[in-house]
Amino acid sequence: MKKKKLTKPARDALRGWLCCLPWLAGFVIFTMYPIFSTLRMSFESVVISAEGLVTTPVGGDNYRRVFLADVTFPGILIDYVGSIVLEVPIVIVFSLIIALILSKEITGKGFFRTLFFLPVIIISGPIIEKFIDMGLMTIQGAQSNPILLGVLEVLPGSVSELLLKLIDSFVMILWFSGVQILLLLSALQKIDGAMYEAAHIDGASGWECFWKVTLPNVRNMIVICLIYTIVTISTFDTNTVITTIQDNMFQTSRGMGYASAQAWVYFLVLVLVIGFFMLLYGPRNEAVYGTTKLAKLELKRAKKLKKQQERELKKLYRESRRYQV
Amino acid sequence: MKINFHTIDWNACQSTHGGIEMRKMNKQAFFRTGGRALIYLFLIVTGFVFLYPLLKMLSMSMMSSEDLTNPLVIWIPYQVNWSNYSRAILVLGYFETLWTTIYVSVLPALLQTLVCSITGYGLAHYRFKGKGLIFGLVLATFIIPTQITMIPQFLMYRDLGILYSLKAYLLPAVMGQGMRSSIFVLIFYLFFRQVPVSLTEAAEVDGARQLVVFFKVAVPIALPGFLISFLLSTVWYWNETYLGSLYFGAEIKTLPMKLENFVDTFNKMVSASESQAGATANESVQMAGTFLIILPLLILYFITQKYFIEGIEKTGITGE
Repeated sequence: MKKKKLTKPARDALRGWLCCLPWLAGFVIFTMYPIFSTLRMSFESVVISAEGLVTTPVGGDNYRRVFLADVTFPGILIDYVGSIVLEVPIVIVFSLIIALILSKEITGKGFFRTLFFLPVIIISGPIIEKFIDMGLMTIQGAQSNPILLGVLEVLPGSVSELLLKLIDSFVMILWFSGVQILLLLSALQKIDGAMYEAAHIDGASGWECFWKVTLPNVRNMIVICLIYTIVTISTFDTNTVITTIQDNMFQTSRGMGYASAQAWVYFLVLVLVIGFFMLLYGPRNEAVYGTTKLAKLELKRAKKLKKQQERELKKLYRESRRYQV
Repeated sequence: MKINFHTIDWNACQSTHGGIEMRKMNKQAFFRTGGRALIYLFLIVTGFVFLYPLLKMLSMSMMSSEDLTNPLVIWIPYQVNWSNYSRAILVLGYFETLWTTIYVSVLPALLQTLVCSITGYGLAHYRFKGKGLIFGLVLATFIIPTQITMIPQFLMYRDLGILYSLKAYLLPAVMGQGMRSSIFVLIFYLFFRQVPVSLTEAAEVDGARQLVVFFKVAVPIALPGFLISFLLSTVWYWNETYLGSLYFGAEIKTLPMKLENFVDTFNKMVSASESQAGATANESVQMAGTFLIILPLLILYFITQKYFIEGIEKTGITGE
């Protein structure tokens, strides 16, 4: 290297940016620009004609139409929010239960892990649609169950409708939990066995152990699974919001401007849903180490001890030098 | 007589019970084995629920139209009807389409894996300002739904003239914006973090260039990461239909895309040929087609499932 030599941090910074450069460029071109472009289009009326796209600014008209003039879209959005609020906890609780079972000594563990991950491989829009069409995604006989029907009659219409939809695609909801089971399983296996032993000696029952040891330890992973679940369910092909937006895209009566406005509304709703779940069960620092106050005190004490030890070491060193002379 | 409850093999107790001392413990042993049995029952039932659509599909795909309407036939058809499969193969143009699907999913997956590995390596290996920002952007791309970016992307590809060809998949993949690329960047970040710094430093001290360090030191250690990323991304490209049909139009049709208008194609083909008279696109034929489309993925999964499971688990263990 005969060129001007840089210091190591500077070289590292350069190389790091160089490594990320393709991704960053791609991000600007294929993600950032399209997002702002959709935002601009959502305030315009876009018509495809022979000469290309003809855009005329219309202000907030598209958004007004999304909320006020569109008969179906607000309803679809509300349905989506309702179903996601129902489905996400089911997926998380189910994967946690399966992961807890599989983290114990179970014969055929490998087989079950393979089985539960299988749907991740084959899940795709058209195939799921076919399965739902054929009624394969529901448990047969569940809908004619007299107890269930009785319960549904008591509940208000919209809630029972949601429940019915849930039953209809029950298997599909379980099919969304393949990745989450594996992630939670690995988090569970990482927990130190000594913690359970300590809790056991202190007289904690298995039930208490679960709430006081297991759950705080896997909390961060659950948060990751939450976000993953929300995003996968929301961006899946058979999602009604998505199909509506896609249908509107090439409709001449509504057009791309209108579809863009819908996409933006959907995006904001998605962010709100994620925010809602984060408020409910977000990451907390004290989750692993008990209360932060205690942890801080512990840290202070440790630092004090270290300083004292260092002082003593220095003293010893000085004394030893004195004797050498 | 005092017995340590934890050291007793309860299953053995259950089988050799009869001793008077054992009587007391039998109750506990009973509950324990009962609990085990319940757990296994639960696992088997959920396993069955998971597999139910697939099993049903398999059984339905072999039924004749009489079996379908016969209420007595639930799982096993009277006669295995292979003609469903031959018809489905014909309608899908199976082997040609399979080949198309393979290259449509493997090529972008390869590029995507490569580019994401470099990005992940940069984030994991070097220390620089602005890393947090890049991380934030990577995570943000995960949340952003494709619906919000696809319209301008579609217009952009049209202007570039790469619409209706595989390039519409390849170009974003080269720039690290392929299908769910943020997950792969994160996977690579976590895998490259496992490479000991002392190892790369030793190589640097020995005079190895950065590229050599990457290929000779980091890549071999993070090889499982490459494998899992490539496999997952192949599978996701394989299963993507909406973006595919938007970007490729009628030019490139993968197997899942063909499934979408399976019935239409079937009716057209049947009305065209007299020899197939009387055949309808009933559930059996559709299920046979669905099974044929899933089959390559199933084969891939059963060969490579070890890497899938280990890869995801390792990702879970190393990072949070």
